[in-house]
Amino acid sequence: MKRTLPLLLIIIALFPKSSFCQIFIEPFAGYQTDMNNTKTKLLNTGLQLAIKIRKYEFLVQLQKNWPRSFNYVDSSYTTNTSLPLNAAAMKTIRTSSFSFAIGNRIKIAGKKTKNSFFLKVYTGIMYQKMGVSYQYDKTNYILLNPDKTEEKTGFFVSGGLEYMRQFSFGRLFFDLNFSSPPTGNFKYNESYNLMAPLSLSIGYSIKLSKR
Amino acid sequence: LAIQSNSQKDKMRIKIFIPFFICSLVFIFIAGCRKNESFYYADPDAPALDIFSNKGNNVMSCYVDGAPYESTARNTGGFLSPGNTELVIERQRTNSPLDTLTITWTIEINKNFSTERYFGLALPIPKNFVFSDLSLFNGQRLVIDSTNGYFFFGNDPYYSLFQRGKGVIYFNTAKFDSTNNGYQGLMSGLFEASINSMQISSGRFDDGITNTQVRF
Repeated sequence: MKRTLPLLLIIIALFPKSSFCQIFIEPFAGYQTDMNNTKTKLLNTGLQLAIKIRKYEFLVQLQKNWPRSFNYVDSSYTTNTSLPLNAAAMKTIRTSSFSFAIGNRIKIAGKKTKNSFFLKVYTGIMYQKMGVSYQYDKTNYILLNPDKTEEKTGFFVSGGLEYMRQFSFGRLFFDLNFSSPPTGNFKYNESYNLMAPLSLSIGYSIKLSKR
Repeated sequence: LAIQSNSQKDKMRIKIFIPFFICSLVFIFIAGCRKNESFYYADPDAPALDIFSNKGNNVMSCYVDGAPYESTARNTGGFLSPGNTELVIERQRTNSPLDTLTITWTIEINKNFSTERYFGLALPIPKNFVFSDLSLFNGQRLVIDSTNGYFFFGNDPYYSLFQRGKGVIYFNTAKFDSTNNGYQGLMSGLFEASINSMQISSGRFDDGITNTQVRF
């Protein structure tokens, strides 16, 4: 985020403020559910730059999912006959992700009204981290099928539908978007998968330049 | 003319040699191909041991007097090279009322062949015991006290020369079946053993079973 946000600001500064296009800056926030790990629910925020050339909009997007912890119960076992055979092991998985993407916003309905529907398609790079920690009796018990912390960076694609309402001072939008997990696989028998987020976001489009 | 003749002979030799050389390389490559079927995942809570799993990773590991031993790699073998199995489940028929079932792992330290040892469990079984009866161990924690079986450890392939001791074994998974195609199954679990002055601790195993592992 620290590296890519200045990049976005440079793009805004360098982009010619001509009568040819309009530029919008679009902060957004929303709720995500992970299609690959049903228990994972995340809050996401992002910032998007939209460059509108006639009816077409080119998008540059930064998005961050805020880390959240999810608790699970795994099993641990012992050969010590003076102890119960198995005991619960509390597992915490802390998930987070960050992505940089470019995309297209194509109007599919509402050409002459204030209410419009858009199709959005993105492609970019996504980083995901699943931090795993356990709480159990490590002296006497051994965990069965333990997970471990994983990090992955890879390419991803996403797409979705967007409803947008025009106001005199900007544009309000609601966005439903599905994203693929980053490319690549874990080289480990994890009980979880890479996240494939389905997100519902609300955002506001602020015009930076006038045609 | 003589020079020209020698040059033609050289070209001829090269023409014969190159296909022969390529064929040899291909043959060596095919003969040497092996598919590794053991999957090692380090346990962060037990240095140099593998995780305790029940997914058919075909790995056993344990500490022997504190030294980390790990089972040898299971592989399918190549065109001319034999395969290898880390585990053998064997029935030893006897003249007494009970036969002996042995479960033997080949283990070594840090993939060093010179440290190779055999470790396992011997259990008395009735004459009418069949392979699928091993499933009865599923979920069982058995105390092996030398009267109902014994753990063994040695560096010689003859069981009679192995050191014997007692301990505990827990079968987290014991699924054994025999089909028209032969034997199949999965066994995983934990063990601790004491053999003379030797302490075997933090043992864990996770092995898929095929015909290669079974001598019943």
